[in-house]
Amino acid sequence: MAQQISNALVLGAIYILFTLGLSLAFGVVKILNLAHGAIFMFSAFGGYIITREVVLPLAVVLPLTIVIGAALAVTIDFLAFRAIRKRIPNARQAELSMLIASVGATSILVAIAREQLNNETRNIPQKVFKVSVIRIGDIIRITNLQLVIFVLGIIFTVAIGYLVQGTKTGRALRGLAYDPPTCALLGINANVLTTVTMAISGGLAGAAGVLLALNLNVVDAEMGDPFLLKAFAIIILGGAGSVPGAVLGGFVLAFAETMTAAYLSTSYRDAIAFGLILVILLLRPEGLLARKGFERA
Amino acid sequence: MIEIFTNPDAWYQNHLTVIQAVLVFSLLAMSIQVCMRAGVFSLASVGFWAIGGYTSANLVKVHHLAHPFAIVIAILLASSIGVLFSLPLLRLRGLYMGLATIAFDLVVVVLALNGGTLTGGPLGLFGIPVRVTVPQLVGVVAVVGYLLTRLETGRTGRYFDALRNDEPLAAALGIRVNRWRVFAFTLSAAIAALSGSMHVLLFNAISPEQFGFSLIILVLSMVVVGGAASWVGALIGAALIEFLPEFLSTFDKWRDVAYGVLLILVVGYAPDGILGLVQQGFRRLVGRTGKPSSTALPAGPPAASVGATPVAGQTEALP
Repeated sequence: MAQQISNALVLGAIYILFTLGLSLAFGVVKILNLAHGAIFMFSAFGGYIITREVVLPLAVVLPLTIVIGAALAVTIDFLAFRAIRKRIPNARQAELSMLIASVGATSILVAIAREQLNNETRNIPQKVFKVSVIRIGDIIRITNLQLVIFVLGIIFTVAIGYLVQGTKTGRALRGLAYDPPTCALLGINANVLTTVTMAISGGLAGAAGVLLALNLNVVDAEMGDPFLLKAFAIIILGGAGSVPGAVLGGFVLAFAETMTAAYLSTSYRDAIAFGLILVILLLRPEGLLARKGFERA
Repeated sequence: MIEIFTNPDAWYQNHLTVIQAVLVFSLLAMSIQVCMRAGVFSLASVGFWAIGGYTSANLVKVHHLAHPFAIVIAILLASSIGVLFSLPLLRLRGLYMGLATIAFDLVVVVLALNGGTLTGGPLGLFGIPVRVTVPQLVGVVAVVGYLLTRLETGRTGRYFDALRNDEPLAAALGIRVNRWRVFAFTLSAAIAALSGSMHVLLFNAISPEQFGFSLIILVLSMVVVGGAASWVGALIGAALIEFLPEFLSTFDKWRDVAYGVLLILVVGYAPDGILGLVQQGFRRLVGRTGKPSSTALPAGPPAASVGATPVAGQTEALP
């Protein structure tokens, strides 16, 4: 049981890192960025390429992959989403068009990674981070890498939470999520803020990508797909753009999945996420932690 | 591709599978398009496609039912499930509706994976008797297309336009908003089940890996690239996306890159899809006084009127 809990905590931390970025982009700029999984994958892939050439410690690789992720997200925003926002005044149609454009971006990134990886599964060399097992008592085994993931998860979450709730930029972000025209009247530059949001979103995906690649010892072109669907569930659980919501949703999903796999059946584990989406949307469409009146329906 | 003119028979034989896929998936794309036209962004069609497919497969293969009856039962079953699900689902709007219906599709996948003999688990069902021919399929698409044309150009089409553009206004005009949203959702489920039934009776197999997230993306791309204003757009989109690998084969291993670039260009620069481009070209050809084709929706407001209050009766671009 204790072992299941520690597994769930680590899984939850990875879910949260992945979801925070997606949730920010969805909540603030109304982009359901299906390329988020591809950015996540491509950053891990970038980490693999870098460490194949020179073996650097994680403390160097992690910032590099964060930069890769941020650069990718901003590039996609410039090349694909910006044209749509400019040309399509109808907000709903723009949302749908950006969703399709992000499918296009995914296709490009996955194709490049697949070609470079020769359709094979690779890994980031062990020298980047020496994994060792820590035993707590007799029952809990956790690797030092998992400990790092959990701690980084907390640090990133607190930092983003502070950015959104405690700074002026954060207030502008929340304003943009709520009412873009009024924000424009107040002199908030939506273009700059969108770029900032996409950079943060991509950077978080980059961090999650390299950490997961190390944890599972896997880099492959399809590694982002399952996370994308889980992240939908977490966003819906917690409410779009809500940092505490993402934390709650990430841990709830991770616990539900871990416990289902451990005590019921692994074949129904993936149904948990989608079942949760349905149940929450039907019972409490604004998410567990969202404030009343948040536009959802 | 030149073969189509020099030797149509050989071209047809070589492309039979692609042609069949175009027809089957154009029906699925139409089922999503119908919903979008009414302002309901539902992707549940993919789940109903699977429900229709498994129902028909079981009825024809295990219970030896004549296939027209099997198809009708599959459609009725999917429609009933559609009505049931529409009641809670239709409280949602926009992308949240999209997410909830994606979740519905993925729950169907998990159920199919764990469905025992009814679904054949991960392997799916195979060896289903092939009962549908291509001419019959063309007939079915034509009939559905005709009915949808009637719907689009008639009273219901105008109701749908009102619902999509301005729900409160539609309600104020006396349109029963919920009733018509349920109708659109159920009609969409029925067409999707028809498509799924056609699929199993044509390709003799169905398995969970055929209708996951990738099918959702594929069909959504068909609708948006073809043009969401009319079922014609869904047909164009299905043909384009299914034949695309062949056109792009010159790009070889960079085919998916070319596909991605194309997708981004179409949604960014031709928001009304290929159908929108064709209609624009047609109107330019005929002159400004030319009557737009009957299936056309008026184009979205020109860029100059961004932010202007929509005038009642002015149709905004989909969805």
